[in-house]
Amino acid sequence: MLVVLLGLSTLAAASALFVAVNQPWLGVVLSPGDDGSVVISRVHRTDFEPNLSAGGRLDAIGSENTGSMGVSALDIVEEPDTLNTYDAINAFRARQSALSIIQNQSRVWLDVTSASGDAHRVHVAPFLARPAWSLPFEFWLQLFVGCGGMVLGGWVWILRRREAGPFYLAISGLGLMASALSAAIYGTRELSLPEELLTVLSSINHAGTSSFGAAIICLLAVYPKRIASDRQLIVIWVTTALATGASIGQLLASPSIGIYTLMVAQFIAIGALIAVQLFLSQRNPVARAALGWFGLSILAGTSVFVFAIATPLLIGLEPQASQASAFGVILLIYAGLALGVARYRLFDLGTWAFRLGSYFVGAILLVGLDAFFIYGVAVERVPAFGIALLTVGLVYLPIRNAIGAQLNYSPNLTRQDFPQLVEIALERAPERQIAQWRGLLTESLNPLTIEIVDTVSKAALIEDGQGLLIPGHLNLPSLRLQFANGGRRLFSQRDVDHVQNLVDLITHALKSSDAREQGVRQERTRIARDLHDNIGAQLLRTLHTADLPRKDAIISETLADLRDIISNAQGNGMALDEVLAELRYETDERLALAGLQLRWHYAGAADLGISARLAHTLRSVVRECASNTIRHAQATELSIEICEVNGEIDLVVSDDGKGFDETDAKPGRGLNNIYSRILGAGGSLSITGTNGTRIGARFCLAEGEVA
Amino acid sequence: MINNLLIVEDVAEAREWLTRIAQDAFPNAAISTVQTIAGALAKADELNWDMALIDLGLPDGSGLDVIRRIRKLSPDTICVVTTVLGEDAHIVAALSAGAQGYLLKGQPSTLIQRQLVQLQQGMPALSPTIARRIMEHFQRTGPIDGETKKLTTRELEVLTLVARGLRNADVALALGLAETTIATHIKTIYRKLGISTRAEAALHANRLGLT
Repeated sequence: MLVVLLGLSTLAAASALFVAVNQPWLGVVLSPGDDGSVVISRVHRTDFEPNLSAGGRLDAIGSENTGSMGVSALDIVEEPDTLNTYDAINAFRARQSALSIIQNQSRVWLDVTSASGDAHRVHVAPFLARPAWSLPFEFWLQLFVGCGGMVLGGWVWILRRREAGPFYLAISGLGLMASALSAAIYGTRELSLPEELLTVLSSINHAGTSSFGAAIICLLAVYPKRIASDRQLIVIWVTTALATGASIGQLLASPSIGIYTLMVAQFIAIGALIAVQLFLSQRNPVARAALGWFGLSILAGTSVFVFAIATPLLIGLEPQASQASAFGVILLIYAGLALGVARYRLFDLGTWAFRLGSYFVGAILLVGLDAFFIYGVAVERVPAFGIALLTVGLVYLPIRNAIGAQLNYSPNLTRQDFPQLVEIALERAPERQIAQWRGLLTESLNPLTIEIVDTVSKAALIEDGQGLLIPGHLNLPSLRLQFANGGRRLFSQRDVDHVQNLVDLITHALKSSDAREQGVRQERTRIARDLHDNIGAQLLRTLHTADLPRKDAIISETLADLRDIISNAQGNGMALDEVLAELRYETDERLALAGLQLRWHYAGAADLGISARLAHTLRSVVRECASNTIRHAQATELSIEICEVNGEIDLVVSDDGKGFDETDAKPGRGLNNIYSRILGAGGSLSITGTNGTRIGARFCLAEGEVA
Repeated sequence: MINNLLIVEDVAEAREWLTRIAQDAFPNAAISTVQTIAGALAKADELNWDMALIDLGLPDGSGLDVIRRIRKLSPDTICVVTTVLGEDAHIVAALSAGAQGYLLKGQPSTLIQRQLVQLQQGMPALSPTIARRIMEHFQRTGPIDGETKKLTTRELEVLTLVARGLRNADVALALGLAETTIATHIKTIYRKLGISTRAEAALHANRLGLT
């Protein structure tokens, strides 16, 4: 569909270009002089005689076959419809016809009066066709406007083919194209066009303009809300066709009645329809926003007129507006209409309307102040403009910003939001959590309804800003909010950003809270495991030990372990060197009581962490060995060497006692315990009994941390 | 000589056990026992004790209050903290409140008896862990008003060696000093600990604008 549309508009543009180019060409650019004469403002060809140059006056044009014919500014008027009477129009057409015949001759002469006042007759051979590059900017602008209108209207219709509004928008686009393309051809002619062509083009222009107006009326009659029946719409078309036909057929009192009365009537109808639609859409935010685009586009169009006509007048230049510029403005308005019908970004309209409107007011203020200073206070032009600019900058802009801050009020994260968010994140009961979350959203956006929906990944607007989707997280469901601020406005992009901020914050808070809870759980698990592995196992051993002193020994060990677990649970962690220092001190004290010497050697990295479980293993092994030595070895010295290399502990405990018989395959219960502990910690153990007892153990530091 | 000794302990078995150990250590001493803070405070007012063994966690309060009361009424009383688990923080608090030693009730009777005798002879016990906490404490406290609250180089050396697990005798050997000198140093450290803790409290109060 889009391809067809683009093809059609390209075809139309190409046809217009074809017609415009296929006219005989003199190679000059003519413009009206002050006194009704025709001035040669530019010369496009280089093969002219030197007497024909820019700045000269063209008095007459003629040829061998036709004779000479005088030329006046009336002949190069852009829009002949502005002529007062049908007689004048018909006379104009007759002259165009005659001029066209002269232009079609193979050789023509031009009677030129140069700037210095000398009269010359210059002979020129017109080209058969006009080169495209010589067509003025106005031609291309109108070509662009025509095609742009068609494409815009057609595109919206393709998007919303079932609706009446876009259909009429497309019709108006067609009208705009017909009007703009025909005007492009005759408005930018070099000097003349054949009468028949001129009449046809004028009629097309006329019909196009009228149908543009009629289509816009129909559009507003059915969009946003239908307020007229099809029958009434047909009446509009019939009336328009009759009026247009009467005008083209020169049946009315004057051309201005035929053309401009209809136009004014259409404008009034459009204004009235907008008012009615605004009234009807009081409770419909989408319709209001669409109408907002209409109003905005008309405002934007008006502001262009201000810059094109009012500003040049005030700074002392000729107004720059021509029919071509008017078409440019119409396209602007038209684009606004198209956006409104297409419901494009209606939700952000408020912001845009304010921005454009406030700039417009600022510009009018600037121009007005400038004029006041020049004409009211009689200040020189340049300083006047400076003063006006300064005043606008210092007075108007701050006021504008203040108003903007008021109007564009949107929910921002406030101080109160943070405690609320934290509370929600820390709330454990899911129902209460959800209720609080909904409460927060209601507070900041005041939607009419909040529904739970399926998973949403990002905050987004739906239904042109009537709804807002909010992603969920874990317990919080994804939500759909409908009708912001109780239906009085649409959700805007700001709301989306705000909500996304809230969601990000709450997600972060929830994640942190989860991580904390998980940390607590892990810590509990670790403590439970330590209690089970160490304290539980030892108490069990105690329970099944008949030997009283041994019972006491195990219980005192158990207490030491309990102390480790508690100190570990307090987050102090356990340092290997600290564990070793305590062990050394304790062992030394025990040995001293029994009259033994301790030789202690430690080599390894400082600041090593160690798990409670490993500390326990280490302590048990050293204690068991020391006990054995004290009780059985009849030794004088106990040596303990501990090496830490690459995360491995190498422990050697040896005494100078009597040793034991290695062939006796009945190790004591204590040694048995040592054995199972070391193996449990993933280590290895070696025991020799010759030359005193020597026990070597090796285990990994990291194992305990992982387990 | 220990002529009268007070035991503050709420668990009956532990009380009897401690009484036996104290009796063995000081055969001539008259031993009194109480189970509560209230009782202990009353006993403290009653007479000047030579030695008091005080449990920290009692049903009606903290043994720290008892230590403070006794130290105030009779500065010569040797206050000893007896505890099962001996959390580091509590022990440093107790020492700075004026306790001269602490005993872990989980240790064998013979060891405790020996430590009691040493304490009476003026040789306070200091375990590696506590030595570490004390060093940390002084580092945290930092250099505040006056030299007396700071540790001397020698005292720091002693603490460092103790923290590595050396006994007083070994520290003496390592530093080429007499064992009694080491004991004096440790006593000074205890004293400074009390002062520095008070100074720290004053400093905090000052920072908070309370004084």
